[in-house]
This record gives sequence, structure tokens and C-alpha cells, in this order.
Amino acid sequence: MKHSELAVQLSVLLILCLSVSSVAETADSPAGADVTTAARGSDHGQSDFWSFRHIQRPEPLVAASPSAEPSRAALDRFVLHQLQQRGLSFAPEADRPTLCRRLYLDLTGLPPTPLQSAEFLNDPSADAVEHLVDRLLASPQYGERWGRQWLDVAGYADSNGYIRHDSPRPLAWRYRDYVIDSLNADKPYDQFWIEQLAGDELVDYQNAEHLTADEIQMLTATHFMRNAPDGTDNTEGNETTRTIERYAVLESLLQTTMSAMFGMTIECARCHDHKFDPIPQRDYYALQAIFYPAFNVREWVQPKNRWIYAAGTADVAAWRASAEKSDAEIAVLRNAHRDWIAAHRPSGQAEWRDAFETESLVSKWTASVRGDQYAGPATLTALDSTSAPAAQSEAGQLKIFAAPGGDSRWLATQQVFDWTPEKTGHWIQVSFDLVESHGADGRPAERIGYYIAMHDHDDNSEVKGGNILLDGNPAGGASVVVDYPGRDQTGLGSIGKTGYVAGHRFGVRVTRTAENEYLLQHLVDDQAEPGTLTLTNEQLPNGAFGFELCCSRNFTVDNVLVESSAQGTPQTAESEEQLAYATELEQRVLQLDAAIAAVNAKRLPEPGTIAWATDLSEKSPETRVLKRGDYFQPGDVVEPGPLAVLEDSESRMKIEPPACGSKTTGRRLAFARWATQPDSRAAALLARVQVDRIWRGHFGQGLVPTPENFGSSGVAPSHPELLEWLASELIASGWKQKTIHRMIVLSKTWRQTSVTPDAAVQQDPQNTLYSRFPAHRLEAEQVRDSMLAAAGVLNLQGGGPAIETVDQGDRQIVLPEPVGPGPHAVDRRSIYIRYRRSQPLTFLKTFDQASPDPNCVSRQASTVVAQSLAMLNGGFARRMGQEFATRVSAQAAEGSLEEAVRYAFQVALVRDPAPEELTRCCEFLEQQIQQYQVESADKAKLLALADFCRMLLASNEFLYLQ
Amino acid sequence: MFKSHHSAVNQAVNQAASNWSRRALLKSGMLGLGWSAMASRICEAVMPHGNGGGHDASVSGGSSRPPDLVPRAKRMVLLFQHGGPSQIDLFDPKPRLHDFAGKPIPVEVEAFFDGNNSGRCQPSPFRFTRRGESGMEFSELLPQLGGCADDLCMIRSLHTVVNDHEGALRHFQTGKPRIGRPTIGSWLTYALGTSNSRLPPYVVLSDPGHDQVDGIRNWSSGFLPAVWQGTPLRPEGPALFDLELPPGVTADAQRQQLELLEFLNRDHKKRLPHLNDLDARIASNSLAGSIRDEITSAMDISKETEETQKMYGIGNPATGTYSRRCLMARRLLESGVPFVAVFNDSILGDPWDTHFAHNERIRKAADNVDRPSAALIQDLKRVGLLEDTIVLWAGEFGRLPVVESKDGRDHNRHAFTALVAGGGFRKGYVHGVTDDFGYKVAEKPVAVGELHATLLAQFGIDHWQLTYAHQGRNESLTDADITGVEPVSDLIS
Repeated sequence: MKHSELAVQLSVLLILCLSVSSVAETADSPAGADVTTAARGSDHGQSDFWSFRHIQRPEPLVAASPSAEPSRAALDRFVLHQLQQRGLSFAPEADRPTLCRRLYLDLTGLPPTPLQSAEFLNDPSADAVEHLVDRLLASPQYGERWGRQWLDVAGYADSNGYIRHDSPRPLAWRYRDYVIDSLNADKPYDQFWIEQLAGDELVDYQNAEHLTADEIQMLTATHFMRNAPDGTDNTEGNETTRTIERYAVLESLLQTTMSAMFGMTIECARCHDHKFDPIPQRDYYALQAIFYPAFNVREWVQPKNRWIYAAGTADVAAWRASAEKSDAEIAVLRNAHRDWIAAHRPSGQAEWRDAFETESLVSKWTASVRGDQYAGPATLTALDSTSAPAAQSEAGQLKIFAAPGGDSRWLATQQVFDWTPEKTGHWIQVSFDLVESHGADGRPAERIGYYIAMHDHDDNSEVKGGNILLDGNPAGGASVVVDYPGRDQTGLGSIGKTGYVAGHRFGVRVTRTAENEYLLQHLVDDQAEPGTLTLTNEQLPNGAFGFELCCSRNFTVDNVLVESSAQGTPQTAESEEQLAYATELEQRVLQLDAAIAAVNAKRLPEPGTIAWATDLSEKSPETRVLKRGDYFQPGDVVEPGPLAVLEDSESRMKIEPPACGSKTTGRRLAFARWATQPDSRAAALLARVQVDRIWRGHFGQGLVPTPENFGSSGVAPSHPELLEWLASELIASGWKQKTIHRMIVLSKTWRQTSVTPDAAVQQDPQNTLYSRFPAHRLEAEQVRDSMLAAAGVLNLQGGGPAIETVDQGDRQIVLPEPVGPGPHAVDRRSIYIRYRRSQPLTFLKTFDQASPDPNCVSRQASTVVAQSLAMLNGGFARRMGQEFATRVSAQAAEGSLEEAVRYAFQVALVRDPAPEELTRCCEFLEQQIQQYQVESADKAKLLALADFCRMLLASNEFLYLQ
Repeated sequence: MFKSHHSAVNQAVNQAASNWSRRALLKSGMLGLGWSAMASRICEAVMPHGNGGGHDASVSGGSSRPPDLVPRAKRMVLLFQHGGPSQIDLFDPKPRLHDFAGKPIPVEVEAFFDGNNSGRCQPSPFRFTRRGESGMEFSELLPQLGGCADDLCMIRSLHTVVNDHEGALRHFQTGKPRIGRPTIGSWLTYALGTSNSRLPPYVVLSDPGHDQVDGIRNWSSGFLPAVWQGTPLRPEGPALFDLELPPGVTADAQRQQLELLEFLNRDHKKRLPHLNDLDARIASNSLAGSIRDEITSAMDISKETEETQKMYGIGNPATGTYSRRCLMARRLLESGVPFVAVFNDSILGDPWDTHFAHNERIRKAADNVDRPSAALIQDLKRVGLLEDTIVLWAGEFGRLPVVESKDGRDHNRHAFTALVAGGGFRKGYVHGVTDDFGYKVAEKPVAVGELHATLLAQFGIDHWQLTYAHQGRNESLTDADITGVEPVSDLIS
């Protein structure tokens, strides 16, 4: 198909929104006219729109209480002013226990321990609240709580997403830790942005011999630009698909950046001038031009290749030299060991061999498998050909030419072997020399796949098992899948540990160890490795040996050899020769291990790695407007520029080569500096969006009801003067966010009770006026973390790689059950749990964890039955109930139920139960104890307590901030 | 080019979203305290200021048009065929291809794996026959579905926009290839609510053993509240996560636990009487205690006669779990679930995605779904539900008339076929014509968005007006003021 024709259809449909003049998505739609209009630079006279103008710092209203701290008092007066207009006033301050719980949960995401709440409640000083606030803002848990909000906004995930592979982002956690550390350090908000957008332009990483911790932080910060879904590690298909997927990354990055910085939706302007806001299409591409040098779709770099060492050039060079030297020494040791084994090992009985000395494979090999019922596969792998998928005997070696794509094909021996030796101790093994391997990109193939007991490939025969795929991994060992491919395939785990590196001999041995039990061992250089699996008779039908052809994994092998133990002489009754060999081998292995360890001891440690973004070249690539957003219809060249609506003559974006000498275009740094320039309209909007976000975090609702849209189609702020006041305070504080947090939580507005008389509710039904504290449900992470805290098992260890989740087998994504005494990694705070886009932790997702598609500026708080079920019957809630009960019963004197209930209320709700609650809870415990027919009264009581504790955790009071 | 009311809608976009369905629902009192009632709570929580979202019943869309469409459908089942079924081998006979067998195709063909494109024509080896009074043509691969010919509307002229699975799936399910948008099941249930608030309004029955391509996005609610996302019910074991009583806990013990929870919550609610969310959560807890029986019973196919089970092919290994899931779908529809999505079984990965060994693999994919799909249509007819139930059988795209590598067929976004039954769709009718090779649509093209608009119209929903305010825009399934799509009246009787 012609590009132009394709272009029409793509442009009509690929995009989120389109020109109004474009025609229907019908097959015969003609190419529409180019509809881009206004040039950049015109703001349509909207520079005085409330969100686009300079900060209008309001005059503080007349002081109502001169004793209060001025800013905080000012905040309250703006709120009070609107309340008074409706004849309302503030509700009374929340009682101290409520305030204590609210402060802890709001500032740290965790409830107070009984000790912490007692400390606060017993503090008689007038500024007890101030002290607590300062302590909480200084605790590392503050960054973990508020960092989560930022990660939503930045669209953080631990996987690439976009397409089905959803491959991991193993280094993303460093950005997560950067965010937490930055918030804890109260890094100025302007600096925070500069680092995330252009940290690489502040550090001369190419030339610096050493990097400081700060410089490493700045490079790590640029991972912000890598948060967008990016499927390009695994792209399949034609050039069009590849182009679309690359642009999708760039577009998501732009969308995330604009909504995170300015609360603006600019996606529409990709294809046409924005309908409601003064954003011409040209602006979109001017913005795109800022990021394009780092995400040039024509010189694309896949996510897996975008990383650097977190070290200077000299440090990396020193490590490399050391590594090369050590590797070479180890190779000499290993090769000597291999050669000795080859020369001395007592071989088994050769069942079959091929040294590839004949030119044709057809006499010994086949592309079919006996058990298959269809003819198709017989033609799949071309024998004696180089046209992939193919196999050829060449220069005395077997060359495998795999086609791209995930469809697995194979080359199998014509001979069929019995993989289940008859007597215990008997074995059969296959091995081959790996001569060379390479993928499509020239680097070593990602896997070397081979099969034993190959029986059928179409998964249609009555024989179960067979087709045991050994997926040899360059990083170490081979994973084992039975009955591959097809519905019944079962992964068994992996064997061995040595990586599939050319120059060694690999294979597997099957040894009968008992009736219907066969040991599968990994062979490296003819020697069995630790790390084995056990197979059954049914899994090992008679079948061929074969190689897998898949996914551009090309490799060359030689000397394929199938051997078995000589009949009648099981391994258990070893010959003298075998015994002597085994004894000497054992000695040699010990010596080899010691020698390798000695070499490794001298090796310099590998520097850590950072996943990051930087310009792909110093030279600025050309960026063009895409007509109607069509990737294949470039229009005029655009120069990089910020949003014109926020640009003034006195605050132009100036692009200069980075002062540090970094080899980048300087575009992103110029943009970041422009956006944070003091007294500019851009900085004003940046501040408004962020203070609204902070406000939203504290109250569960923002001053601006449409946080994703500060533009003219959004909703104006409920308290415009307050918003301006807070924004100006943020800037005046040197962009210190903790200043705003402190101001808010110490305000009367925030400290009100959430209980209020009916009159106020009638006047202010939605609480838009803040006539009371807006009680709201805890966020998913707060729910889980609070449960862990109440149960007394929370592990406060911070930072580091994400905690792995597992699919329970039924698509429920859980954390593995911990074993033994804690603290357990799986009981760490939720921010440290891996967020794989296709497999989010079910419990958190159920409570409305954000979906970074591409980012989320405001979460929902749904009430769905799945939440109730999770709390009622779910494994996590049950374990928390049990742990909580154990904690409670340890505290309750002499097993008193009343004591237990009191303590549980203090832990979960920071208050004593009311008399009728106490009575009812004790009644419940008595009832439940009757329900459990277990061996001892103590056990029944513990079970009943666990149920009671779980109900407390499921209660609305526990789940709400009030 | 716009009709007047459309421009009015555009102008009104800065006002609250027009949302007739919500208002209609509130009037009809259809919202009980159940799955959907909770959604109303969410929206209040999400939009505390009342005028920012699409759910404020008190703010009228003003210039929007009142509904004047007559609903012909009340519920829908999507029989989704992952991988891209080959229209050339199933529904759309191309005798001309035989003349070109093995010869170069005389038009330029867009292949997905362009390196594997042989460019040589590959006629279908399968025999086509005319079925029913209508004489609709079906290949020998779908004998049972062919038996439903006179109840089916066959659309041979669908076309889509991208050639990769994920993009095309999203386009089919959500109207755009991008991530983050609601699926048609979410839009429909968001608009309709449900008559049985004790069951999830949007049920997903997918292969229990394997995730299909693009996983949970196939039933995502995107930017719509999460209550409108598809709820996967498993056809084996407990239907929902955490549905079963924990080991050692009796029903009595759980009832007591729930009573305690309700006591605590009622006491708490007294202190915060104005917080409506709390009622929803109290209702939700009580629902959690009682839905086990409701869901289990709705999915219990052992209550069906042996004859019915046989009709669906249950017990025949070729139909896998798909047959049981089709029968469950009928039971759920009967129980008041308005939208059920059934996905075909995964066989050797993506079942219809026949990049190699096409002729063999398509047979298996067809055997998996032919009998159960046909049985569902016949069974719905038998129980009198077909008239107001839409059954849509479709995949994300079609396949090419040329050979891929040695014996495969590659993706084709330019033409594919879908089947629709019930809900007012024309019976025994074939719509659209493809070219001589089955590569592109030649007559009466139907874009996926046009199909979406038609489906909504059959539910009495004007696709222009079913909107949700998101990121400064009134989003819709069809995005009609951009795409300009409208329902295809030819498809309707």
C-alpha cells in the first residue's frame, strides 16, 4: 500500500482527536486538507485567563486572629471569607486522637502506633501539634507517602507496557527512590523539574572521570522521561507499526509532562489547533522538538539499551580493564578444566552422533516430528538452506538460521531415543559444542533452545508430556518447559547455573533415580551441575532430540552426541576407572572453584547502572509538523519552543549549549529553565498546579475540580484567591513544598472536625466551602500499609529493587506468603512493590491504585464488592487479622477480652471503644469462640480475635481519614 | 457538514456533559444498592464540585437532544475471536483466487511481517456452501454457524486501522488503538446500568488457562469509573477472587462477622451522617456476604439438561472451555447481566493468528468455537431472548489472500467479516463486498466505529450523546464529531 493512502486512514484513526473537517473513518475517505492554522506566538489574548496569568497575590483579608502565624492565618481567612458569605463558620477543631491519626496518615501514610499517639496526647505543650508536624515532615515516611502521589503524576511503572510482552524495567526503582529522596530532602520544586527534564544536561557524564552522588541523582532523575509506556523492546511487524509505536512513546511523554507541569491537555493539538485553549498545532510540535533529540523516531534506541553506568569514565574504564583481565584468567582456568574432562572422562555408550562432516542434513535430521498429525511442519525448517528458518551443515558445523517472530520451529533427529532408562542409576544424555550465537542485532542470542523427548509439536496426540524444551540462558542455566508449545505446556523451573557462552559444551542428562523418577541434570563441559529437576515417566516419551528455531536466535553447534550408560552397569556400581575419575574430578573442581574465587576477589565491582534519557546526538534533528497528526505527512519544520500562551517577550526560552559541556542540544534544559523562571507566567502555572496537588492530597479534593485541565474548558478554582496565595507562598519559600504542607496541616481549615451540624451540610452539601474536614477513603497504598502497621508486621526498610509479585495461578496477583519470622520483604510499604502494568497487585488495584496510562493526576475512590470480598475472605486480610490478633493477645492482660478489644481499638482507630461498642465486640468474640471447634480454648480465642481484628480493619472508620 | 444538534453539542462542551442515560436511569429508579449504585457514589466522590463531570443529574446538557431512538436491544454478548479469523476461509468465498493460485497478486499488499510476504495468492482450500433460506455462504469450517444463517447479519466489509494485534484489539474494543479508553462493554453498562444489581453488569468469560493478547485491557473501563470495567468470572473454581469462605469459617461465623462489621459501620455512620459513601460501603459489605450463591447459581451449568450441554459441545475436547463459557453466558444474560464478553480458547497461542500451518490451525480454531457459538444463538432464540439480545461474533482484523512464508496467512486490516444476530439486526442478510481477492472492501465499507454507533443505536443510545467528561473533553466511544461516523441503517431490519 502506498504511504499516502495509508496515511489517510491512520491519520483519521490513530489519534485521540482530529480535525473537525476530516471526514469519516470510511475506507474511501479522501485526503483532507491540511488544517493547521495559526503560527506560534499568538496567545489569542488569553494571557489574562486565571491560570495563564502572572501570580495575583491577593491582599490578605483582615486578620481575625492576630496571634496566629500570618500565612496560615491568611489561608484560613480566605476559606472563612467564603464560609461567612453563606452564614457559616469553621467547625470546631477535631479532637486530639482524631487529629493525631489524621496527621500521621496524611503526612506519612501510616497510622500512629499506640506509643506514638500516647506521646502526642500526653504532650501538654502549646505547640504539641507543631512539634509533631515537624517530626513527621522530617521522617523518611513522608517521602514514601507523598512520593506515591508524584509517581502517579509521573506515570511510573516497573514495566514497559504498551504491547503484550510488558517487559520489565529492572532499573526504574532508582527513579522511584530519587523521587522519595528528593521529597524527603525538600528539594526545591523548580530544581526537581530541572533535574527530571534535563539532569543529563547538568552533568558532563561523557567526560567526567568520577561522578558525585548528586550528579548520579541528576542522571537518575531523567528517568522521568522514560516512564511512558514503551513497547519498542518487543515491536513486531512492519515499518509502519514501528513508527507508530515510537511516536506513541514521544506523545505519552509529552502528555505526561504537560499534565504534570501545567495541568494541561495538549493531545488535541497533535492533529489540529486546540479547540478551547490557545494551543495551535504548531505549538505541539515545537514542544515535541524539545524532546525529539532524545526520542528521535528515526534513530530510535530501545528501552533496554538506554542505560549508563552510574560512574565516571575513569571508574568505568578501571572496572572494564579489571573485568577483562579477570575474565581472561577465568577462561584459561575453565578451558584447561574442560580439556582435562574431555580427555579423561569415561564416556557412555554412544547412541547417536553427528559431527556434521557431510554436507547434507537430510540423512540424519528432519523438520517434522513423528507424533504430529499434520503435514505442515514438515516444510517449516528448510534443511540444507540458509533462508531462515533453516539449518545447514557448513564447514563441519551445524548452523541454525532462525526467522524473526515468536513462532517456534525446530530441527529434530530422525532417530528416536528412549529417555527412560530401565534400571535405577542408568542414564541417557545429550550434549553439543556451542560454537557461536547471535541475534538479529549481532549480539549473542537471547536463548539457545533445544528439546529432548520430542514427540509432537501440534499438541494433538494422545501422548502427554514430551517436547521438553531446554531454554539455555546466557545469564545462566536452562529453563525447562514440558510439552512445549501448546495449551498443556508446563514450566518446571530451571536447571544448572552456567551461562550459554560460546566455547563450551552444553547438554542434559536424564538418570533414573527411582521408580517413575528421573533426575534431569544440566551438563556443562560434560560435567553435571547443581540445580536439578525431577521428571516422570509420562513426561519422557520416546522421542527425538532437536534444536529450537525462534526469534532471530541464530547459533552454530558441533559434535552433537547422545550417549547412555552401558547396559547392565548402572552408575551406582561404578568401575574402578569411573571411581578414579570421579575422585580426581572432585579435587579438580575444588581447585578450580578456589582459583576462580581468587581471581574474582581481585576484580573491581561493576558500577551500578541507571536507566535514563539523553539526547541521542549533539546535532539537533529536524522536527516537522505532522499534517493532521499523520506520521507519514511531514509539514513545515518547527523550531523548539514552549507553549506560546505562557511565553512573554521578557521570558523567552533561550537554547544554549549546556554549560557543563554535556554533548546534548540544550533544548530540554532551556525549556526547564524557562518553565521555572521567577516571575514568569509559566512558573505561576507550575506553582498553581502543584499547590493544588498538595491541597488535594491533604483534603481528598482539590481547589481546582479538574486537576487534569487548568485550561479554559476546565473548571475554575473554588477559592481563586487562596490558590494564588498558596502559589505565591510556594515560590516565595524557594519552592519548598514542606512549607505548604506545614501551612495546610496547621491551618484551622484542615484541623476542623469532619463531624458537622446539619445546617452546615445543607448550606455546603459537597463541602466545597470547607465547612468541615472532608472525610475521605484512604488510598490503596495507605489501606495496605495501615493494615500492615496495625498488624505490627510492617517492614519499614526503604529503597532498592521492587518487590516481586507472583501470579497465584488464577490471575490473582499476590505477594508470596512469607515464611518464618519477620520482618519480611513482602511486608514492606506498597510503594516498593513492583508495578507491572499487566499484572498489578490485585489487592491494591481493587482499591483504585492508579493506572499509568500514561499517567494519573487524580485517583478515583470506588466502592466495589471486590473490596468487601478482599477484606472478608482475602488471604492478605486474613493474615493481617491473624498477626493483629497475635499482637493484641500479647498485650491483653490475663486473656481479658475487654482488654483485647480496647487495645485493638487503640491500634486501629486511635481511640477507646464506646461502652456499647465494647459490649458488642465482646459478645461477638464469645459467639465466634463457640464457632470454632478446635483443640484448645486458647486457639479458638485467637481465631475469634483474628476475625474481630479483621472486621476492625474492614471497618469504614479504619478505611477513612476523618 | 454537521447537523445542527451536533454543533450545539460542540458548543455545549464546556458545560457539563450531556448524559441522558444517567438522567433516564435515575428517573427509572433502576439503581438499587448494588454494583451500579456504588458507581453513583464514586462519581460524587470524584466530582465533589458537581459541575465537572458527566454524572451530575441536576445539570442538563441544555442543547443536547432528547433520546428519540427506540431500543431494540437490552443486552449483548460479544463472542470475541482473538487473532484475526480469515474471512477468505470462513465467510467470504473468492473463486477468483483459484485462478491466481501460486501466482503473484496483481495489487500491492500491506503485510504485517513484510519480510515474510511471498506476494503469491493462496486460495482457500475449504468448500463453501449456501445455507438456509437466505443462501448465505459459509465454508465447511463452520457447519453449525452456517445453520444459523437465517438469524445472522453477515458484515463482509469491516475494516480497521492498524495491523498489530494490540492496536486493532483496542480499536475494536474501545474505538481507538491507544491505551486508556473504555471498552464498548464499559460504555454500554455505564449507559444502561443493570437490572440485577447483585451480579456484575459487565462479565468477562475468558480462557481460564491463558491470558489473551493485551490481557486485562480487553475489558478495561479506561477513564470511566472502575465499576464499569469487566469483571472476569472464572468458569472453574471460585468465580471471583475471594468469593469462597476461608477454610475453617462457617457461613454462620461469617454472618456474625458481617453483623459486627455492620454494627461498627452503622455506629460510625451516626457520627458522619452526611457522608453518603459510607452507605455504599455498608451495602457493599452486605452484598459481599450474599453474592456467592447468586453468582455460583448463575454460572452453574449442571442445572442444564444433558441435551443442552451436548448442543453446546460440552465434553467434546475440541470445544475446550469455550463451550461451557458460552452456556454460562446464556445463564448470566438470563439472570440480568446486560453485557457478557466471551473470548475464544487459546490454542497454540493466539488461535486465529495463523501465521504458519494456516490450513491446519484454522480448522482447530473453528472447531473450538463453531458449535458453541451457534448453540448460544439457537439457545437464546429458544428461551426467547434473541430478539432483544445482540450476539456479535468478530475478531480484530482479517487475513491476507497471499501466502506468508510457506503456509501462513498474515494480518489484514483492510477487510474482515463479523456476524451479528438479534437486537434488531437484519436476518439472513449479507452486507458489503470485498474485491476479487478479499483484500480490500469494494462496496459498502463499514468502519469499526460505524459498527459501534449501530450497536449503541440498537440500545436506544445516540452515540453522539453517550459522553463522559475527561481531561477537558467530552469523550465518547465513537468520537463522532471527529470521525463523523453514524449508524449503518442497512444493517438494521
